Amino acid sequence: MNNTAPSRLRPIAWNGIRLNVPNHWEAIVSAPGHLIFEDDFNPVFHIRWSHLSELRPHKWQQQSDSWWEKLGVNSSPATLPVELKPLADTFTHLRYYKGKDPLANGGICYCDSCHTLILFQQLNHTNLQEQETAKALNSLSCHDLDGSLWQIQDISLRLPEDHFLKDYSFKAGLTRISFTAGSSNLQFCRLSQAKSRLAAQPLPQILQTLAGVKGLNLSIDSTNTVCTGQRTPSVARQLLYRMRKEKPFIQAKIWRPPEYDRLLAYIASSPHPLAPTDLISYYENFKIVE
Amino acid sequence: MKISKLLSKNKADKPVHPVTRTESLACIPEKSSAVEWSQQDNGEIIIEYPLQLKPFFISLSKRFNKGVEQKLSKKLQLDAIGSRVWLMIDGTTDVKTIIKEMAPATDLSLQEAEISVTTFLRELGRRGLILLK
Repeated sequence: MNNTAPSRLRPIAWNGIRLNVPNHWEAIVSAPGHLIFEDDFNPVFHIRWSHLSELRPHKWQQQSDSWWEKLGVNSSPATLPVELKPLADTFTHLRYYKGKDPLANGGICYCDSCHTLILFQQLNHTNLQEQETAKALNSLSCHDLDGSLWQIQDISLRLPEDHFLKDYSFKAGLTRISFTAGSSNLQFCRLSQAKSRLAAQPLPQILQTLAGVKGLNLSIDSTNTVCTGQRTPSVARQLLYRMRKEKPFIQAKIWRPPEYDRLLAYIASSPHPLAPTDLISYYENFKIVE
Repeated sequence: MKISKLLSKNKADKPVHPVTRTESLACIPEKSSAVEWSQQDNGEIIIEYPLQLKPFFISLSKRFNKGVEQKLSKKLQLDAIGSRVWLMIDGTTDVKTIIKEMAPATDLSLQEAEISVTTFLRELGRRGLILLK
């Protein structure tokens, strides 16, 4: 899209990083700490990040130069462009690199509060993309005081800080994001084309398939839009599941949000009974956003 | 933290190279001339394509058919989405346009439609039903 007018922004939040990008850009999750942003199938910029245990401030420049060099991009340290000045307010350590080729421009920043090291590389092709990338980068933040937000595609999920990303997959029509929280496992699913899926399979059956376990006690509400499944085995059964290295307690829920042709589901499994407050929070904080 | 891990180039790094990606999405699929297809009343497409057999199997087939060489073919029935993509393959529409048109039609995001369409086209190409130019 190469219009001259700036676009409406939408937040993207993934694995501790949050930023606002134009609505028509696609955010591609390339790795747990790597996001690529595309405009009309062309990469516009990408960011990589990771937590750094210790930063030696006196060696910052030397260290960042060596990291940048490892990227294999032909550029050298330069003054931060005016349009990226707000970045310097957010990050205590910031180093910008500029090359002869505009695709070699980028930088490294470090947040003192959460010890996150972020690398970004601009891959802009037009002036508008350059402006929009600058806006997106200026909105970059790496720590959230109110739990951790996950917002990608059309889903939004807020989880407590002690939930860590375990796995994810973005297949056509099915997005799965898994987390670990202590000894519990948690999986969030978003399915598209709810109408045609429900025409082929009832909600309980879809939940059973997503959970991938037998023996769930399934119940569906009177509106046929919410289905819950649970497994709370007896002590003897618990032993059996533990011997099979399975988590005995499972709580799952699938629902169809009104006004969207989507299905949302969570599947929580644990060696101990799951706290009802946590389950309510998962249900309330997992949403479709446009 | 392992800096080497942060800087390492993994398989998923491939989309970062814009030229390769742009080029692949700019490819124009075209139906193979060896393929015959028809549309059913429900809109679904049935494709009939010749089987590529090794000479040994062709001679074996001849023996069983009293020396008469039979045209061996296979049929493939596409679902609603596959049929839609097949109809869009006209030798002038590129992959990017197909994805863009399929995304709203199937209520998938662009990223999902891309996975779905490219996987489907790869499968058609593998069977020799389409050519990419």
